[in-house]
Amino acid sequence: MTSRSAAGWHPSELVGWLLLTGLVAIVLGVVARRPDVVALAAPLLGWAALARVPDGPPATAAEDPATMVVDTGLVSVDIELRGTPHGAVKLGAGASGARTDTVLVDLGATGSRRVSVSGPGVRTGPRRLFTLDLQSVAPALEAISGTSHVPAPTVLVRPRAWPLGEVPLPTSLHGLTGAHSSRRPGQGGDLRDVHVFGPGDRLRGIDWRTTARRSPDLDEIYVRRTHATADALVMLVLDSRDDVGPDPATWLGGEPPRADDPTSLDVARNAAASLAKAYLDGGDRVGLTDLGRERAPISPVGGGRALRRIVQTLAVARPDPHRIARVRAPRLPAGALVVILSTFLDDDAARVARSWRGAGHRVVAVDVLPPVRTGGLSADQRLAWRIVARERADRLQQMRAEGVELFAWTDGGDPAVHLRLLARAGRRGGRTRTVGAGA
Amino acid sequence: MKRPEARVHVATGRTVPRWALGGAAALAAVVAAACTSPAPAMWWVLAPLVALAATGRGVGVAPVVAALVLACAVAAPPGPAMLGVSVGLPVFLYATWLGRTAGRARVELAVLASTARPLLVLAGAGSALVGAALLVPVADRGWWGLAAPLALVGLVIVVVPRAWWPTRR
Repeated sequence: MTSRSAAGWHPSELVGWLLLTGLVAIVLGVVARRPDVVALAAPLLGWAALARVPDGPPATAAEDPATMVVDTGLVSVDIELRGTPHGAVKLGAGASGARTDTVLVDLGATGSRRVSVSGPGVRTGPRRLFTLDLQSVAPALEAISGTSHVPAPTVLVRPRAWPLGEVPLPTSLHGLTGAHSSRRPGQGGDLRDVHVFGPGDRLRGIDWRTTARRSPDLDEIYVRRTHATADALVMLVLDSRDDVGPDPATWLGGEPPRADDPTSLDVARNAAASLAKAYLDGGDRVGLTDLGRERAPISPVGGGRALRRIVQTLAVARPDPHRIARVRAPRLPAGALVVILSTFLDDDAARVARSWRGAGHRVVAVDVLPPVRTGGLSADQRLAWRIVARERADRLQQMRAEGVELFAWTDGGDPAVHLRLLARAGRRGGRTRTVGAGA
Repeated sequence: MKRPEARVHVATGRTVPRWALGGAAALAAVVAAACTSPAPAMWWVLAPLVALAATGRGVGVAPVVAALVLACAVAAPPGPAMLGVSVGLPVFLYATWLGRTAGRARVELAVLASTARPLLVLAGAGSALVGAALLVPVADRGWWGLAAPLALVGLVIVVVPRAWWPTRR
């Protein structure tokens, strides 16, 4: 738990006012021979006489470690304030790109108070969310402390998984069971054919109507065979090299994006988490690799633990300034559906997407560049953006021409609709075929 | 179209609007002045000064306001109206200083409850003292009539129930 103290105490000017006003009342009262005017000084001088600079240290602020990992949305962090009993703390909470809120809060008889600081939470990943300014106020306003600036704690904001519905499948299905119907005969749901009873067929599969129609004297017995089920292998490929916001003027890093502007990496994290949840909820296996990191990928596995691991990995992903350029594309499991999430602002991500497509993978490219705002750009910046946008459009066009299926996550439409269209296009194109034992 | 600015929010108890603090300071000063000076001219002098002090920006004029109120009190004949001055003056100083301390901050209602309590006790004791002083016939008793309230002032300062003063518990 981190804890920071405000600067030291010093008496407030109020005490001087009280003394001055009280003494003036006494002098005026004596001169005018008015005891009631002299008595006016009693509360003022009493207040000044009882005023003391508190002995204890000024207020401290400590973040609750239980809230250091939060979910995106309206992000909230609990702060514990400790200081002088019956005192108050002037707490100013701010965030980059957001308006500060300042409150004079009471510490109560215990001198301890827990407050919740919340702010815009569209950004994800490790973030310094809130800066705190503390100023302690003595119980009767007789002393105040200097203002101390508390650096913002680093909070890990996890991406949020949105419901997506139908999602595209790879060209090949794997495994002996799963949520999808394969072409391999086995114990499944969809009817494959009606066949003569043979070794391995189950008695409960006998189709007595077909048997009676085709073989009235029961020379042969017919059974209904079904397609086996299988699961899909999905590899999510995150391109964490870029973390750019909607304003191209911030892309060079001179100024940070606004706190309520999701960057490309925020979009990619949320998109990847949503896709992972959709596939894992369907019983498929999902893996994750990062184009911006040299570490080993997460192998495709299923289940809730896999989702938590993927979400955690997504949350900590960020651009690596010491990254070495990749020479070749990461190796992926055979037959896996590749979903690559990138801004495609350079050739690397597009190149590996095309190479995977050339190797026979079904590749879905998700463009995570947020809608760009060009309103406040200078003429030079606008020209630079036009050049970058033109090169990017050519890059995306080339990917489409080579069979990479592409859609933008933030084009204003519902990503679930794009994914549903891709899923149906995959079925119409007969992309699903069976790979595995007995195929 | 300009987008609404994002803002951070600190969840606290009920807060007092800033205008309420300024209003309390203005009301206290005007009541104090009105108790002593029936002339509306004094209110016109006080009003802009009080408004300035209540915003926290021109808080330096608060002693001027206090001096004016005291001047009104001396100019006015002795009477029960002085009880209003004895309460209004400390309340004005309190609200003005609290407004300056808070600045642009929202002020939690609990802060008022905790910080104003000792002040109100003192103001109550001061009112009682003023009431007692009004009963002292100074003309008949000479300087002893002044010494008695002075002694009472000291007594109040020493005897004010220390249990009510938060830092002395």
